[in-house]
Amino acid sequence: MSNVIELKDINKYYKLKDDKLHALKSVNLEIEQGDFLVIMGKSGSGKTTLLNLLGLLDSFDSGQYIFNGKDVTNFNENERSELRNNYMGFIFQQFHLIESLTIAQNVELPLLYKGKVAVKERKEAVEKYLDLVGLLEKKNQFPTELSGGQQQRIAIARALINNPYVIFADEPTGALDSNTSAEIMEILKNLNKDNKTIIMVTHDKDLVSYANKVIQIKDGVATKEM
Amino acid sequence: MSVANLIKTAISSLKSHKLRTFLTMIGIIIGISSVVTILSIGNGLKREVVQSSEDTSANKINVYFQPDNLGADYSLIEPFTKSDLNSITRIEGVQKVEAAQGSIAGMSIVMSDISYFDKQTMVILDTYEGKSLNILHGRVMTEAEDNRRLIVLDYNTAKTMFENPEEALGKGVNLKGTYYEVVGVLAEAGMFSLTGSYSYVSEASKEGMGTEEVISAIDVYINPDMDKEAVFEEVKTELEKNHPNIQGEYALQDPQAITKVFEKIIGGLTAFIAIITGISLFVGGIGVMNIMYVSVSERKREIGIRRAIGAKPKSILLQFLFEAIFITGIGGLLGILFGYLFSQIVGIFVPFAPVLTIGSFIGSTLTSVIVGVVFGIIPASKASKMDPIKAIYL
Repeated sequence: MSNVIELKDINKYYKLKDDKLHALKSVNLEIEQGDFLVIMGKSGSGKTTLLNLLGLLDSFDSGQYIFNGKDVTNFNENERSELRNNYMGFIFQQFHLIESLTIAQNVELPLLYKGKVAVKERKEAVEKYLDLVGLLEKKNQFPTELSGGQQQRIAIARALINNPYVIFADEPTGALDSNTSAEIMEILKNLNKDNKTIIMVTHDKDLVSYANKVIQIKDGVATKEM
Repeated sequence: MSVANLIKTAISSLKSHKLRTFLTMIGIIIGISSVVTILSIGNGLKREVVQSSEDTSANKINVYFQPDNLGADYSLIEPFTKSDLNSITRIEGVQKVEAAQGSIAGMSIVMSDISYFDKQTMVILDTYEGKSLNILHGRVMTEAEDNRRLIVLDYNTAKTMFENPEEALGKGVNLKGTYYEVVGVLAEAGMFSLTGSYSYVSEASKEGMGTEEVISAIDVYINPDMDKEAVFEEVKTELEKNHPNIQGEYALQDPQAITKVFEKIIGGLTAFIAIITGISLFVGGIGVMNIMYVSVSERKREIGIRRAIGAKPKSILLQFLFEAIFITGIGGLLGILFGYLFSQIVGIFVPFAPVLTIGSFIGSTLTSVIVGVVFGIIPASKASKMDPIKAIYL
């Protein structure tokens, strides 16, 4: 299997007042197509920093990032945006749906930023992925009218609509009760079965069972556990 | 993101803040509606001026002679002759030439020497028919006396000839070899009144005076597609050629010139007031800018989410810019509507009808869009430069 993501000797610093914090220390990482990677660590360990960096939302100070065989280390904002739009999907702990938009509009959004997708095609895609997460009947409602678990399922549909290579999930079950958490994890597991690469950050040890690769991160140092 | 989607996005986010959006719009509505009101009133006034002068035909120019010596006798100089009229007709672009009735449009006046024994001066003669004369001494001639040679002298002439104007009554004065009896003397002319400085005879007796009527000005009718100035220059050259030794200058009196000056003054004044009024637009614009700043910092998370799912900085910039333009654009259209209604109300109280021209409609719409761009661009650019990470995890 080919590597979808490769990190080589990544270092990241946060500038403090008169010091700098070494947030990520010489991180090396290889993620293959179809992997379910779980990044474990306590809060402040640098796990979310690593995830954001992998998702091209954050920058790093040294090292090399190869995505899908292409060196994206020096990509500018527009290129990063395009890459995120086309190949990456994001799921956040707080769902992060846009409240002024309906469910359907939220799910459709990545397609709008992709551009040149016909109205009919967009509508079909929205319905397809809403159906996949089992919430098609909610499409004209607004996010605040839905429960947390439902909102997270909408966020998954939004992450999937551009048919990305990788799905980044930052504590996707962190704000949900255990039953709903299990539902969300079930969806992610099924996506992984369909060969979607999933990278998930969590501090919940129970979720390790879903992964085929686990990275433990402590004080900016990543150690492969599995 | 396509323009249609940008508009949709703008509508849905403005919908979620209806009251705030409306309050921000009020500034723009007031600004645009006052500008539109002023422009409509100004344009209405301008049209009134133009219409009232439309009876003077547009393709006619009036050429008159301005002697170097202002007291010169036109009958001696003869600035225009019958043969001039013929030669001018041959100039390209000239449709028709005719002698103007007097140098001041519409008056059949004639200049003449007048003498009483050794006293001599100049009078400007007009016909008394149809005029109301302000008599100081004596009387005006009657219709029955039309064939008699009677004259009503102007005050100054009477004074010059007879010292005491009243003494002129009953005296015979000599006009170009013909004697006229003075029956009346006019009151002194006011400073701006021309009529008080003429002397009056009857139409019939004027023709019998034995003097040939002097052409003091000509009307030249020009092809509408010809340049008036250019044709006038040719007419002038022709006249100067025909009258090589004349002491003075041929000049152009454009009947529309005065209208144009008025139009210019009204136009300038309207623009000036509109600009002053436009300051309120500036205040409205500041309001838009303020609310856009609030909106950007309120929606940091939304900006972050949009960036995460693939929005480019430019898309974010356009999104907020469109919102600002939407506020000012809708405000502008409402402003035009209110301005129009207000100017119609003003129209009830003024003697002319205010006009909303297409020009001021388009101008106002454009202005409101420009206000949106100008005051929206800084908050929008702030939004587009936001770091997605900081925007999401605030």
